[in-house]
Amino acid sequence: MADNRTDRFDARVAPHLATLLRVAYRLVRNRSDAEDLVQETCVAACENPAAFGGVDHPVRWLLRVLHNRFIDRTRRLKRSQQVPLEEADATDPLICGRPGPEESMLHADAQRAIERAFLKLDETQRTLLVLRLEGYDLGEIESITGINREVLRARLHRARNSLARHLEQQTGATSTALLIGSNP
Amino acid sequence: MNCQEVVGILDNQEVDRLDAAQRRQVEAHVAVCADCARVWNAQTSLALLPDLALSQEFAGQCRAAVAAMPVSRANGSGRGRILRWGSLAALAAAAAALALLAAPTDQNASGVAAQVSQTGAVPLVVDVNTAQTPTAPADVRSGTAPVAITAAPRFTVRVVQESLYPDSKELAAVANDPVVQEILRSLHNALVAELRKIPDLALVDKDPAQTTPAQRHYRLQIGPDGVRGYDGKMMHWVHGYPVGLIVRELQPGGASVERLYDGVVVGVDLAGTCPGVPPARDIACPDAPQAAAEMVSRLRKQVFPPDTSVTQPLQARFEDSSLAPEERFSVLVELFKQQAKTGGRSLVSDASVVRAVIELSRLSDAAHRAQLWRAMRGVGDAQLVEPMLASLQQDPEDVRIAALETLAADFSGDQRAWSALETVALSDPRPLVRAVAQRGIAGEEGWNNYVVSSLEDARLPDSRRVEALMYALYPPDAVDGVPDPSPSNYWQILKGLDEAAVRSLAEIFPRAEVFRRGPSNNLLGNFSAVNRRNPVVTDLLLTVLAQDSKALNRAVAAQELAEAHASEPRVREALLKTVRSDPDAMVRDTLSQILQKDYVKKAMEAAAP
Repeated sequence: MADNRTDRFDARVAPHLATLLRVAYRLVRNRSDAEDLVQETCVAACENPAAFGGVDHPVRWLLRVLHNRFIDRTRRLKRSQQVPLEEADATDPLICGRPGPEESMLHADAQRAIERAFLKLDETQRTLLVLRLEGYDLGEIESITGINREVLRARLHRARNSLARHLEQQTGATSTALLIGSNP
Repeated sequence: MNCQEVVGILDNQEVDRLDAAQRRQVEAHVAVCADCARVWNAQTSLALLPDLALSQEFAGQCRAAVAAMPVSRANGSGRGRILRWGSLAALAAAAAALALLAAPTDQNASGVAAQVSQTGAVPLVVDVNTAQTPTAPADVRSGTAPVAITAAPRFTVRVVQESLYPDSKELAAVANDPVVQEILRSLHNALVAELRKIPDLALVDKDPAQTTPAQRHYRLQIGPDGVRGYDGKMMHWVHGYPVGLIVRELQPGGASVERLYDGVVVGVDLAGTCPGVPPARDIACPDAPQAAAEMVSRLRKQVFPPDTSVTQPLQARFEDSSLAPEERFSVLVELFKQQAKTGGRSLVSDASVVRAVIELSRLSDAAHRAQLWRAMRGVGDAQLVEPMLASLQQDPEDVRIAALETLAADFSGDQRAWSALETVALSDPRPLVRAVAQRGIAGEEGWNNYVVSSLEDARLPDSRRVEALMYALYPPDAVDGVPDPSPSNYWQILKGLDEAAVRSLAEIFPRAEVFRRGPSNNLLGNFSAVNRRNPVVTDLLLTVLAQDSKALNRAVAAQELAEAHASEPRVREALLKTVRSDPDAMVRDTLSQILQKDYVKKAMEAAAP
């Protein structure tokens, strides 16, 4: 029984682990939470072989599982923390747990501001922006999140605006600097 | 390029793969369009953040997590959310629980070790005092990275073979029987195997020096047991040998308390075959693995902290709208029983559970709806406000009260809830409902005054005079059979009754029908004990002894009179009359035994003419 599961994992999940971890980390900006999220996704995926076996795009299906886990998880965290988001952000830029080694490497103020602004978005907005960052177009995001394309377009628009607003609050001024071409 | 085209790129294209011409066009547009610059910069800024690379170690951990998931769920066809581990700690603990082996007792250490080695697993003993962070054995399959488990288990269990009743010579003799010893060894091993299947549980070889609410420890004692017959002698079991299991939970201060569970004695038959009279009350002819499975199953349901393999299927069934409302409601009761073991509301706080509660509230009758609102007390999900407000408009009194109390407890900051409390406090047709609403607004002092003043108000009918007191003393269970875990102020209320209230209650008790039914069996005894020196209580007890139609009330009155008032001649006479001629044998027998006590005899002699 365990072999079947690990075989499924080896064949269908392991090739996409790097993508899952990257997306999870981009969503939560915290290593331990990202790893938890990916582990939960792996377990859930291998738990449901029937659903997994029939999909044309395993990575999209896995991202969908991860997306659902992320939403459940974030909502649970919100309930259990009982700390207003504004307050939490004021003391700690990371919503989920204490900074790990990766976080402590965020020296640049700009990166810190971006991270804080991003973590103020709701879970769906974060997912949409991260999937766009991964290079998925609206059709692919629709298949991952199950959100209708037109709704998706509007939400993505709102997510960008919200992120911009939070960024402005972080930096204290409207940023007009072009970031085109400054990708690492 | 216009704004729409820029947004189109943001929606559908990979920005870092734009060709040079497209890039120049975008730059030209956003240089003159503040709105586009704003959203463009926002979205593209995310690419500046560092990413996390995949390590071999983490890949191994994922693989181990998949391998460690409970077998029963592995091929489940249904919902993807059955396993819902909250953290790496829980995941690690689950893996650890599967990997850990129990420490055998002194007598059978080699036996267990031999059995373990035959299974191919790696034996590992956890010392809870020094090794709270056990390391799981490495996966021996080729090509798999070792998995480091660093998290502490959620609770620990130690299984010991020990005399359950050290004073019993009969059981001590049984314990020396080689067959019984072999049965105990078999059961011990079977229990260990069953316990290893539980997520978040680690078996340990000694009791920890300290525990905390977050780190519970249970000690399972197994030993020979027996059931006495009507003659007081141990009954002979035709097949198998009775083995009992006692559970003690270690307390933070070092003491331990016994945790009761339903399933004390199991007749274990080594062969697992017992034709004729079944040796166990609940399990027919169990061999050691069957007995252990049943014992552990009951411990998981009734004693151990809730675990996900038990609670998540319950949550899933509760949320399943294809099931009948009655079935879903019975599942909620089970969830609540799980919750009651450790307190809190975490099992029913999930948003999907709350949604299911709201859905069920529309399908249920009023009695169930009242329980749903009480069950949700402490959850604090704002989705509940509107359905409870609707209840205030349309439901019977007990449902309105349940809704009011939950609204007051969890939503006092919600304007809608507060307005409703104020409206109900002023205009509900039932006085008790108005008083409960007022309690939510003004607090306990006003409520206590209401309880006492209505008890003392002789203009009211008896039922009205006692209803608030009875509600305060005997609040309904959160859900049927599962009391609300909040501490009761029963004794505070009884002791807080002033002289006028004591007189009133003593006056009403013989008349009010409510004292002859329901949960108030112990009220007469407790009320009398608290007010033992008050002569009106002696009068009350004599009245009850002479007139009360409920035998239990007469027995309580007889006991209290005999133990505390027997030196009064009128009490002596009444007691002697009762022991001779009460129509109920239970009352006569109870009083007869009490009258044999020396201090009662002396009091009776002093009162003799």
